[in-house]
Amino acid sequence: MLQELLRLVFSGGVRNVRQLAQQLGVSQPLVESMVDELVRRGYLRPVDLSCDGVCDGCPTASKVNSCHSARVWALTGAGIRIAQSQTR
Amino acid sequence: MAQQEGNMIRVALAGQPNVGKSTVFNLLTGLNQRVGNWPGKTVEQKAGTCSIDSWAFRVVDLPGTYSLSANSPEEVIAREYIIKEKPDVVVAIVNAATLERSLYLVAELLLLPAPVIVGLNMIDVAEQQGLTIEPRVLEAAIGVPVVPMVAARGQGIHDLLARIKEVACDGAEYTPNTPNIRADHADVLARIEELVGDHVPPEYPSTWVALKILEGDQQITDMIHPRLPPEAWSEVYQIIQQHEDTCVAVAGGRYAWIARMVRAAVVKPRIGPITLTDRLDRWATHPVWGLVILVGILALSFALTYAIGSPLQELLDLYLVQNLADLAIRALDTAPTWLKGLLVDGVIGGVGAVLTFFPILVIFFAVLGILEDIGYMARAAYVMDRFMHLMGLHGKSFLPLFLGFGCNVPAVMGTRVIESQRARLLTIIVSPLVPCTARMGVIAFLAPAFFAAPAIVSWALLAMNLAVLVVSGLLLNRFILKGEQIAFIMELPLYHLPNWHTIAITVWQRLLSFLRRAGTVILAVSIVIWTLSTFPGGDPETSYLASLGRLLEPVGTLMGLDWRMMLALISSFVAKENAVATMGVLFGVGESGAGLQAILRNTLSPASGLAFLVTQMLFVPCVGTVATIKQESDSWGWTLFSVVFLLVVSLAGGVIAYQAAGLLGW
Repeated sequence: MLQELLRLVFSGGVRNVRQLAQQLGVSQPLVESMVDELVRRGYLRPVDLSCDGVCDGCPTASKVNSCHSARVWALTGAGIRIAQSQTR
Repeated sequence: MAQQEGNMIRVALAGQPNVGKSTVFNLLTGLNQRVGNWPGKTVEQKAGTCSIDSWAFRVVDLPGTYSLSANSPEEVIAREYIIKEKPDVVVAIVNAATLERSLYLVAELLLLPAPVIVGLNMIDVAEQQGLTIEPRVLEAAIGVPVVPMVAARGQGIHDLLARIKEVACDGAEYTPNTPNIRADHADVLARIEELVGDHVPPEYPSTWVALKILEGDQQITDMIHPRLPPEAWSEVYQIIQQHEDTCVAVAGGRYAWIARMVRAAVVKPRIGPITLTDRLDRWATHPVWGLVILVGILALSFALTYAIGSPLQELLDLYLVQNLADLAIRALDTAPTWLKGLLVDGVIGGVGAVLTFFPILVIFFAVLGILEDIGYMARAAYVMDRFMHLMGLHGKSFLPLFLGFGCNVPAVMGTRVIESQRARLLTIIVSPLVPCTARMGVIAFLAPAFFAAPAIVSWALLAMNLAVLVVSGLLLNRFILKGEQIAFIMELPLYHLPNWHTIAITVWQRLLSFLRRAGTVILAVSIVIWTLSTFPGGDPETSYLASLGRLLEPVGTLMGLDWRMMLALISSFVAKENAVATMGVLFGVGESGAGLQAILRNTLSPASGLAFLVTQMLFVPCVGTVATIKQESDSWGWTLFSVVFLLVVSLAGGVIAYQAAGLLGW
């Protein structure tokens, strides 16, 4: 199940928990649980998008951005390896 | 099987943190508990007794752990106790509201040599969240007794004790439905079990040991290693090295098991906010409709901005700038010419011109602010991904850039999802091409200066910007990155009703920021421009600035822009609004009695106007973005290159736009 999740993510593009749950045929909390497990084991890594207030003085800056609200995870090298490994 | 000392039943209490295990322990043992330490460890141990009728129960509270790996002393203590001491029953407390997590421990416990009873606690919390769990179905699915409980209210304890007694004394066959490794990995597990089976200490279950070795469990591996003959060990070692996917499959098997259990026993009605977001996202992130919606919403944003902003702008122009200019001219009647010029042509011309564009800016940002606040803007990444998927271009490296739709800083940050350093650096170069609200704002207030139908023009410029981004990304991908695949998980906030308070504060903060900038940077630039354009002779055409400007004319001619427009372009390096200020000064807004819009429309052809706007749309990134690029690339060279790259792209865009528009007869 974990390998399937990694494969789904690896297959490209952006995924969210709802899509992954649908494609794996499980509930969203289970996907979240698995994502946490994969992060613990080093197959996924959380990506830090925080901007440290670089835009604070700018009047044209957007205050409500992905850098403040989205959570992103990327595959690590190990995760890519597992996603690519063939089953016999 | 049951091993009793007289009528004493030995119970081990297990569970993850926050499932109510302590509450159950206290209910069972009351005051008959003793706190100490686990032998040889600093981890606290709680044990106690309880009696019902003629039965006595000794309860040991195992440390709360999420799983039974070797990663912490608590986990090792818990599993060693069960393996070595062989309690009559292990009671696993799970949280009914978070079964997907709390069942993981059960999945591990089922493989240990002690019968398990599941205490399904916090049923009340689950019910509050709209979850219905059927304990009997869960019992049939797992194959062990399941006791529903609300320990916080003392409910379920008697049933629990009754079932513990049953299991301890029953002598019935214990056949739980245990997690399995996936079929195509089973042979690997079987081989390991074959190799180690004869060498496992008697109290350890050999299948469990094999599974743990496969999982890379350090404690078990260290225990087995010395017991194995060298050839056996080297084969085991080799298997582990070559089958990393099987190691993952061990844990994966547990999750598959949890999924089966949950699917069987949990009845979950839809929860409101999540469903609404899902339903909206089905349209908002649809590969075709999502794009249509995005395009439509942006077009609407521009249209609304001009519908409300343009009339306000005209009013400001008439009643603020013109009146102020007249006032100044009258008041300074006896003042020296240079002062009059400075204030009327310089300050009022420059700063005044910028201030009249202000209503458009504020409304545009208010509209975008609403879109951002309700959570819509973040969907842009999904829309672009699905759209590109439709075109057969999936997961290309410029995809993370759309994480920053609306601002270039998160676009640059978004490249962090890319594993390969090279791909990341190259994608950073393209990142300032992501449409940002600042650029969109600048276009919003400049477009009316040149065109009578600014909404359409603004929208078209945005579309062009996106097209340039996608094309550059594709070229980059095709020729330099050679199709490296990018993939990531992105979790978006739920949609929610606009928080007017937040939006109002944001708009207000932008207002203040803008006025602050008008009073400082723009004022300074206006004065500088006026000074350099007046001296030495008083006629702008022969001023220092003009000489500078004419140096730029060769490029300018290709774009249909004279030296004044080229200078306006340059001044926008510092702050985008400076373009307007510079034009205000150089086109004599202060003294002419006409607004900047009217002047520009009379002076420049639509083709020139278009060229100017195209260049502005693609122009070099803001200071914040440049700083972020430097931070992410850790190289001044690369940062400089990205600025130059954008400069070239924007000027090229301007030239192309002018020539193309010329062909159309504009």
